[in-house]
Amino acid sequence: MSSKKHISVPSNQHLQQIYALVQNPACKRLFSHTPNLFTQSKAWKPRSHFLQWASNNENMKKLFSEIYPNDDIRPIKDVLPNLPGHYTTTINLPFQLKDLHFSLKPDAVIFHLHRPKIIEFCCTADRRGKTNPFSLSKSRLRAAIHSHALHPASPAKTAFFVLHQWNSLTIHELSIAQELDIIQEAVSQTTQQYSHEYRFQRTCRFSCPLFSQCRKQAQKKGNPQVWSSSLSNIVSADVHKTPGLCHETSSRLSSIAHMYHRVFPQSSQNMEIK
Amino acid sequence: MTQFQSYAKLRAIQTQRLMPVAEKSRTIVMHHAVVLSTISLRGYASTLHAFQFGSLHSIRTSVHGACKDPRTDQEQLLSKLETELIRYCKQCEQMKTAPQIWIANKSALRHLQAICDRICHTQTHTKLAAILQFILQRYEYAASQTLLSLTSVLQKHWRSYLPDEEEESLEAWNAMLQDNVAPIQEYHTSTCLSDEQEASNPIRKGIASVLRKEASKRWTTIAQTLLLFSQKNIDTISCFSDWWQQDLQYFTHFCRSSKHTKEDNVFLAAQKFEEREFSYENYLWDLRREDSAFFYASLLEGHCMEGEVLEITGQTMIVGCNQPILRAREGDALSLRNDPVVQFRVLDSEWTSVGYIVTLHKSYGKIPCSEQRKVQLSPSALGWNFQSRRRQNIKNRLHYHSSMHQKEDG
Repeated sequence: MSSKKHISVPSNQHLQQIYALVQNPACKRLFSHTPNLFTQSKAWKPRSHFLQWASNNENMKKLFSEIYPNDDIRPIKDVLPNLPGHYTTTINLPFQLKDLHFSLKPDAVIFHLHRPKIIEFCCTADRRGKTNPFSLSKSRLRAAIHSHALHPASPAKTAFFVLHQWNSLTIHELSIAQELDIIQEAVSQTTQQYSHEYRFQRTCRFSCPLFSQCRKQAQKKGNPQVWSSSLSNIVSADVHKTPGLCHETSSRLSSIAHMYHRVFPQSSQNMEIK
Repeated sequence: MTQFQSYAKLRAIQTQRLMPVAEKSRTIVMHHAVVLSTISLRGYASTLHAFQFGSLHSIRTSVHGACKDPRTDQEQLLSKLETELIRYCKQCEQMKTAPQIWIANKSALRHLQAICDRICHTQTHTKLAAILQFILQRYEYAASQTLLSLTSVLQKHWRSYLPDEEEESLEAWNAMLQDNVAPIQEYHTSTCLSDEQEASNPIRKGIASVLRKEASKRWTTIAQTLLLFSQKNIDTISCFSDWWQQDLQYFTHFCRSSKHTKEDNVFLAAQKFEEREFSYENYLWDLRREDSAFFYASLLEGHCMEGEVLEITGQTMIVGCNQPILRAREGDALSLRNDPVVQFRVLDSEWTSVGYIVTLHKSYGKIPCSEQRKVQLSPSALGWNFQSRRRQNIKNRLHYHSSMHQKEDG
C-alpha cells in the first residue's frame, strides 16, 4: 500500500493550541479565547513534503532495518497497530485538557516492545552533537503530547525521532519523560481554580498569538519577567513603582547595587566607557 | 546573565538609558575591519540568497550579490563571496595582520555556520569552506577578534532597557547608542527574510532586487552601529594586544597550512577543545585583573573575594569578607588581584554572622599585607608565573614564525 496518499498535513491548529495550554496552564485568557484564537496558519511546506517522503514504506524499512531486520515493518491503516513492526500513519487520537476536546494526528505510531510508540518526523538536520536544540525540544514536546494522547494513564516514556542527514534519514529513540511530566503537571493544574486573569511568561512568545497583548499589559504592570528571565530572580518587587532601587530593603539587591555603584558611581554614571 | 548584569538591566529599565557593564572596552575596531551581511529567505536555513561584503570605511567599494532564483542559483553567489574572502585574507596576510569580520548578530552567526556545514559536506567551494571553517572555529575561542557578532559585543559592554530578544536587533542598538528615544519602526533579529517568496512557486518577479536592497540596508546598519560603538569607546583593556597577537598567530598558521575542510580527528579535536577551554580560563583571569566591573561581577557570583585582613600570624593570614557567596574552599589557590605573583592557599573558610572568615596560608616568602588593610583576591589556578610566561611565549613566537603548533623546545 502506498502510504503517500493517506498523509495529509497534520493539524497544526490543535497542536499549537495544546502547546500554549501545556506550557502555561495557569493562564485563564488562553482557555477562554481558544476556539477562534489559533486560526490555521499557512502550512509550512518543507515539513509536509519531508513527511510525505520520509514516511513511505521503503524509508521506514531502511530506518528500522536494525530493529526489525526481517522485513517485519508493515503499514496498516486507521487502527492502532498491535503486532511488532506494524505501523500506521493515518490515525487520529483524542486528547482532553479540562473541558476542551482535541483530535490529534501523530506522524506515525509503531508497535514496538509490547506497546504502541510514537514516531516523530523532525524536519531538522541531524548534526550529532550540534543538532538544533530548539527544534529537538519542540519535537520532543510534540511527541510527548501524542504519547500522552495514546495512553493517558501510562504513556510510553520514549519515542522515535527521525532526522535527516543530507539525503539520508537517521532515527533515534529518545526519552520524553521530562516533557511528559510537564504535560502531567499541566493536566493536573487545569483542574484547579485560576488565580490569574492572564499569566505572562517567556514561552508565550513562541506559543501564543496573544503574546504582544499580554506583554504590553505585563510591561505596564512592571513584571520583570517581560525584560529578562533572570531579572525576576533578583527582584520580586514592582520595577516601576520602586523609587530608588539602591535603597531597596532587600539585602540581596542592595549588595548587588553596592558593587555596581562602586564601579560606576551614580554621579558620573553615563554611557561612555572610560 | 550574571547578577551584576541583571542589576544593570534593572537600572536601564528604570532610567530608560543604556547602562555600562564593562569598565573598559574589550574590542578595538581595526582600520582594516570588514562588514559582512548575509540574507536568506525563511525556510532555507543553509543557503545564501544575498550578501554584502566590504570595508567599514568605504561603502562604495563594498561588493554585493543576490540570486535571481532563490532555489537554484546560488553557486555564482558563493563563488563571488569566495573571491572576496580570499582577496581579503590575502590582503591581511600582506599587511601582516589578522582579519576582523563583523556580522550583525547570533542569527547571522548561525547562518554562516549552516552554510559552512553544507559546503564542507558537498565540497563545492572548498576555499570558501576552509575560510569559513577557520573564522567560525576562531569565534569559539575567548577574546578572539577574527569574527565578531556586533550585538554580542555590545551586550558585553552595555545593558539596554529592551527585552532580551529585542537586544539581538541592530536597529534597536543603533537608536539607543544615538540616544534616540523614538520607537523603532521595524527591527530584525534574524538573517532570514520573511517574504512572500518563502517556499513558494513560481518565483516572484524582482526578488533579486528585494534581496539586494535588504542586504545593503542591513550592511549599512551594521556599519553605522559599529562606528557609533567605536566612538563611545575611548579606553581599551590593556590585555587586548596580547589576545590580538594570538589571533594573528592562528591566522598566520592558517595561511601556511594546507587548506582542507576535513573533520578533525579525535586527538586534534580534543586538543582544540582543551585550547579553547584554556583560552576562556585565561581570558576570565585577565578580565578579573584589568576590569573592575568584571571583578565585582564575579565577586557577586562568589569566584573572587574582597575583604579586610583581620590577623596575621607567621605565614597565616585571616581575612574577613562580607559578600553573599564565596566559592573558595580548602586547598584552593588565590592570588592578589593587583599583584598576581603573590599566591595563597585556602586553609579554611567559615560562614559567621559577620560574613566569611577565610584563613589563608603562604608557604614561602613574606606576606605583603598589613592588618586592617583591604585585599582583593582572585583564583590563580594557572600558576604564579603564568602571565609572564605566556607573554614570553608570544614574543618568541613572533620572532620565529613557524613555531605556532610545534613543541616549545622544538
